[in-house]
Amino acid sequence: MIGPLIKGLSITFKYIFKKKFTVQYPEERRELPPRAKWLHILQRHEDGTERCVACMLCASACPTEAIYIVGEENDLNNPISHGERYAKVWDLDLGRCMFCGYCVEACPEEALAMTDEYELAVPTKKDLVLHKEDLLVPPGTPPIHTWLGFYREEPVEASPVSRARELHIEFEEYLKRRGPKEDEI
Amino acid sequence: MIRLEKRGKDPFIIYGREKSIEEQLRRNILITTVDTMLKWSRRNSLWPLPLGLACCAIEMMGAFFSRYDMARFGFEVFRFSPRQADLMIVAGTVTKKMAPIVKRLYDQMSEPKWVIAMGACAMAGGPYNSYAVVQGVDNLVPVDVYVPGCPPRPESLIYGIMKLREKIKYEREAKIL
Amino acid sequence: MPKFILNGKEVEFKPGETILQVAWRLGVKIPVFCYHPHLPVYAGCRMCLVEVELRGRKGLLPSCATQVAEGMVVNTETDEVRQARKSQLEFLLLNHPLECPTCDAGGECDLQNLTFFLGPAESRYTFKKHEKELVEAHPYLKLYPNRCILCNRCVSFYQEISANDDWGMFGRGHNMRVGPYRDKILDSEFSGNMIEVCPLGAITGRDYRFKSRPWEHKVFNSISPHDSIGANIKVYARVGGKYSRGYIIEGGVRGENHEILRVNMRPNYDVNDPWIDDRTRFIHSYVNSSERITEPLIKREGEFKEVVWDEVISHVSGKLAEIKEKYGSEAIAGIAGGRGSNESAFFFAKLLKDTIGTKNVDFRIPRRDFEQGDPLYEVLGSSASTAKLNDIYNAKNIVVFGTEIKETHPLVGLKLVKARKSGARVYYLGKWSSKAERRWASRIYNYNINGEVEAALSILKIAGLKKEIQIEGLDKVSLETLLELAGLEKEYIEELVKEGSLFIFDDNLPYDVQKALSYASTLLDGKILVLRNAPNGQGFIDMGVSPVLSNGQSLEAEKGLSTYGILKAAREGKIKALLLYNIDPIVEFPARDEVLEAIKSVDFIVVFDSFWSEVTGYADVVMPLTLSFEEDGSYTNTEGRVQWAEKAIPVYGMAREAWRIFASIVGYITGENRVNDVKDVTEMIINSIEPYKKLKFPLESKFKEPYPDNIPSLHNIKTVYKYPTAEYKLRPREVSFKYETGEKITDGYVLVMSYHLYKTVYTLRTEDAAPLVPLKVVEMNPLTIRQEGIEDEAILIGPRNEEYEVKVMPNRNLPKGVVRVFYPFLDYDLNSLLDYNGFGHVRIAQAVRR
Repeated sequence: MIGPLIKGLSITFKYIFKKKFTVQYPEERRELPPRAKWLHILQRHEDGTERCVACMLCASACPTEAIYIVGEENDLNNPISHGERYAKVWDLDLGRCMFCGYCVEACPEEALAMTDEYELAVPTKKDLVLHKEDLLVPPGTPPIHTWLGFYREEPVEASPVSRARELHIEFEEYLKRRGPKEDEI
Repeated sequence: MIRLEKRGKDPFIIYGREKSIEEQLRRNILITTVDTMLKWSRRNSLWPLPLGLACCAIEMMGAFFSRYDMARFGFEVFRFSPRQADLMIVAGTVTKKMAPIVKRLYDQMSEPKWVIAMGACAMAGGPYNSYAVVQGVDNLVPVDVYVPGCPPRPESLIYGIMKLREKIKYEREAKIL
Repeated sequence: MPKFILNGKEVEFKPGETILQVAWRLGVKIPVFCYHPHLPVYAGCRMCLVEVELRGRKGLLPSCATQVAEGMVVNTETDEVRQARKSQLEFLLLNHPLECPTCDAGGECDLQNLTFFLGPAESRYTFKKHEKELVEAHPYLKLYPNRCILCNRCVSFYQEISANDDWGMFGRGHNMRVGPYRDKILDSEFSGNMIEVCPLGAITGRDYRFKSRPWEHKVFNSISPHDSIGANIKVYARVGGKYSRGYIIEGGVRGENHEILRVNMRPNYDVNDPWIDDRTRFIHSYVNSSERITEPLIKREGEFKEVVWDEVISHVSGKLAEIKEKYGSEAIAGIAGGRGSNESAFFFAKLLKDTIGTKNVDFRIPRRDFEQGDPLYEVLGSSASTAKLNDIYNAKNIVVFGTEIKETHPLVGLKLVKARKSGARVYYLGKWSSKAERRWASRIYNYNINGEVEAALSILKIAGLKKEIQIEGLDKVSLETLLELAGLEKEYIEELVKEGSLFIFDDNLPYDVQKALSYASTLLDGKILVLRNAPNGQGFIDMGVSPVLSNGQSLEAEKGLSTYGILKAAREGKIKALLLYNIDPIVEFPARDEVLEAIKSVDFIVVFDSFWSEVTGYADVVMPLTLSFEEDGSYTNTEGRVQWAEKAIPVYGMAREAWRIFASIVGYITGENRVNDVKDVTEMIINSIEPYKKLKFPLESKFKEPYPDNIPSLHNIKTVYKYPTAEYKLRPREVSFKYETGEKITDGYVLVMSYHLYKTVYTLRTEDAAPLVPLKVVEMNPLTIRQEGIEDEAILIGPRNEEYEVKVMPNRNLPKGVVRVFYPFLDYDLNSLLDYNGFGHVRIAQAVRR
């Protein structure tokens, strides 16, 4: 009878000398994986304008209809985003959102990204709705690149398109180096 | 990765309380002390009633086991009997069939009692905008803290409970019932 | 039936059909860009290429332009065809900027859809794309030439259907572009149709720009509230939502995001086939105007107090009963604006005629001669058009008399263009004529400014001479005198008076004109089409909002007072209570001073209206009404077609439907059960109004045109609607005239009241219509302007030396001594210079520059 007891307790005692397993949460945080999908942010261009152009693809990709957008025409003298339209209202309802990330995948402007911000508890239901002002990053924040290869910035090397473009660029560079000829002017 | 700056004032703290000496003197010093002590004891020994209704319950369990070990804060005892619990954690989809049971469990808890809605379904129905799902447990019982996520991480829940502790700390006055 | 082979199957066809029509009818999808079923065939996009084999020869032919021949073998899905379409799409996409995220058409774009179904995934074009400048040719239109694929749809609509000429295609090769010919606002009332005809987002409308996406809104079938043609429209509104907090409050109260996003066409081949005019399309944001009345109000101690509905209903009912007891029911009168639904008009008439017992109800403008009765009833025995709108297409000889169709009923102009192109003779007789009339009229004759009665009577007289019929009351006047007073030649009139003519005129013309033309039509076995100026004028007459008629075709036992009579009686102190339903007599009627005097001498004024205006200041009770987009209801258009409009957005503030208010007052006074459903009211109308007896619920019937699903620009015209018409009995009566030659205006300038397309009670409350609305504007002949030395602004001096500051715009169509002023007079009170017939004298001084 005493044998199994000792056997069992020995395991317990063994763990006294092992490294502590518990994460001391508020003081110590686990490093989240780089693609952790928590709170959304709305990104900015390098010049400080908003990336979002209110194309409403995120809203239509959202399975729970948690995103609500109203677009408006940009004042071209003092533009808020690149292009002609910007989001006047961009609301995210955390009460519906299930952090699936479809909105980020749908975004054609790389405006939407997800962060590792998971401390989101709020005291009232009203606070569950986050507005554009809450989600926009301050100007100068380094961008998070979310394009997963659907919209490549650089064309794939082997494609015939890239070769044609290269030729074109080479030719233009050649023209620049050479300068205009007299008879061409 | 970016950590967002906290938005504005912390909504859990009730601001604007005067702490001038006159104010303090006007009060009954003895009662104030009991008040503070009661609040302190309550917030450090929240005994939760785990109302695991769906997948969020798994994360709730995660929060209570050794990896995150909520016993560190003094609320280790899961009480499956509502009479001994004072914090109800609604974790998961509250269907209309489950709604009367949730309500009855809340009614059976002794005062003072608090409620945390954990996860999108419990907060507002989440993805289930359907005839069968209660669109937020706040339709049934008063909710003190909403913890977004689908499901929330154990840390998110712990954060939510810590926020609840703050809320208890700054409650207007402790009720002795 | 002849046969041919389509995709291996033997198929029947009607001679003259194209391959595309047969294929779509049978459900074979052929993609198109430039083909539009309501436009002439252009065959420029080459998307609809199919492989055709006939008599041993084989090749790719555009199916939209190729008529089927017997023995043809057509294949729509061979590899060659597919390759051709794919390459064609690649060519179309060469210069197309891929700005779908910011483009308004994203989600309803033919190019997007067809590229998705058939197109290449990558472009081989790597060079810089051409960039052309944006064009803003109209305050509501924006053209993005970069996106344009030159399908020619807009140009063929603009030039062929609406017969305008200031929009077209220029240039060659890659410089080819679509656009306006000059830097002026497009001279067309139909330019908005180009937005819908455009297969992609090259032309977009400002009212809808960037607000929403097509999958977000709900669509409601409605009827144009602007004119009495009753164009069928689709109203796109953002309603409802699934958000946890509820951005959009469902149910009764309007949330901040409730708005009408846009209005599109809805085909109804009887009415608007399928085009709509710009006013109908763009003027809708007045529903959220800041001038809306939100609460029921009672004036107490000189100030309006907000009250609840029950209180205001009991207050008004009590007051009306009290006045009826004290002064008799004749001391109560009602004037309507003719803008509400049939249901509301029905209960308005019921309240005044049955419950209170007065016959002093009218909705027409206060012309003195309208006191004699209803001009059409006097001749035909029913106050309705004898022609339907589509009779314009059947008539060989059309006479448009006195009405500026472009300003009041633009869609009739579109029909006249088509009629003229198919060989009808269209004559226009008017005070003056503009370019709009020249689009459709084969001959234009202008009579003297004050000579419209004489012009109409001379038409009648010549018709009588042709038929050798003596017309009672006209034998004293000779034809020559009439023609001289009218300023017309005898040959002109003789030319246009033909057997089976269709006469088109509006119901604001003098009594004698309407009577004479109706009588002339009966003499000539022709028809009349009366264009009601009130948007639901025909409905109001049929419901009995008339001092003489109890429905469209039967006479009241005793005659009540017309609008003129009511105002006159009010000035004499005989009217103690006045109900104003959707009308502000001070700004919408001429002779402002007399109207104001009449309003001031009435003890108890109840205003039922949607907007604050001048008369609300004199009112004792103000009740907010819903607009046509906020209520269900039926509307009768000018030809008697009864059409149903759906509620699109929740009501504004505490506003209520007019019929509900009138029904509650009726219920309060008589103790009858209140009606709560609008369909019950329609049921009551069908049971009690004679011409409507054969109508049945639901009013609409629809059928589908076989257009393929993957072409979004044809979605709006896929379902075609049909509505029933009211049936009026014709009982010709004996006609006599009391004509006396009136005085002629000789000296000074003549002020003439007229209409403007963009100056109505609705457009004046629409903020974004501002560039189109002529605010404080009068129009004069440029020669006169030069003669008087006027620069932009001038002061008009009335007979009592009162001064009015106005902006003067040149209009070279006007005769020299004419100053044209625009109804309604919300922005200037020039109507105090006008008499009840809409004329006035004025002197002009140039404004002093400050």
